[in-house]
Amino acid sequence: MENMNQNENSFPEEMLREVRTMAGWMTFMAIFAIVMGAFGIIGNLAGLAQAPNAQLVVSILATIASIYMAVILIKKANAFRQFSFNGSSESLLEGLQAVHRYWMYSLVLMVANFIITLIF
Amino acid sequence: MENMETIDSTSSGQSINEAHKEALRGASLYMKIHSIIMIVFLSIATLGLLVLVSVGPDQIMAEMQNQLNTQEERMVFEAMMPMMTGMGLFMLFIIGGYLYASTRLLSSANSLGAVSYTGSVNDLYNGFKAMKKFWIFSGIITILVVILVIVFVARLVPQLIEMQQG
Repeated sequence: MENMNQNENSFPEEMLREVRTMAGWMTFMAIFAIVMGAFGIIGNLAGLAQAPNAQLVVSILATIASIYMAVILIKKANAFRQFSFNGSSESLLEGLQAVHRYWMYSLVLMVANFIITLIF
Repeated sequence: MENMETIDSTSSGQSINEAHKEALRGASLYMKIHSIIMIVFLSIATLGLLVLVSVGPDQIMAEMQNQLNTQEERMVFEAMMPMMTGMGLFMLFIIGGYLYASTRLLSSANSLGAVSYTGSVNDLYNGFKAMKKFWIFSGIITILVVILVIVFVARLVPQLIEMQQG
């Protein structure tokens, strides 16, 4: 990595480029998750209007949780994009904290979905 | 990459400090748990799918057809039959892709976990590189699944309409 250019904040330019690309894909996945979640909620609400049951209510709550996850993912992507442009340590910290939050909630959601699947 | 320096954790907010390390430790732990669960589940799914493929699609189709009760269910199944042939292999491809993405996530978690102890920019770079691969693979697979669903619905709906009219 002899030729790796480092900006004034000590983070190499190659790394910032990787982070920029990663942020783009994260945003794509988050927008996709929000769109799919919105369709899911509309479908479940339609089902709820026809024949209300607990399973649909739980399904709506799970979809809302996944939309919230997507919002965290967008925040994370924005923080990393900012970091990739200014190399700021604060943006990096914000991004890393969002990574921490995202994977923690993701794990909780995974366990909750597993339990819901077992119950219903 | 060997000469990439370790950033001093006590420097003036322009590098990796204790707050970064704490966030990295937490993120790394949850990423590791998540990726290991995914790897285990996807490996089981791959094995299951391989067993199904080895049993033979005809036998599976016949068994599935026996499970159907109503005329409508049989109509939908018959319309889906021609598309089911390559489905097993496509599913295998999708699961394989997610499996690879999960291994990248695990690799990223390991590298980021290492940064929390060493403060090395080299490890941070490797962590981001692996994380980028995870998101790219997840994105590509998602696009492929969407295309598959669109193709599936676009072929199924006209056949169903035709069957209902007939």
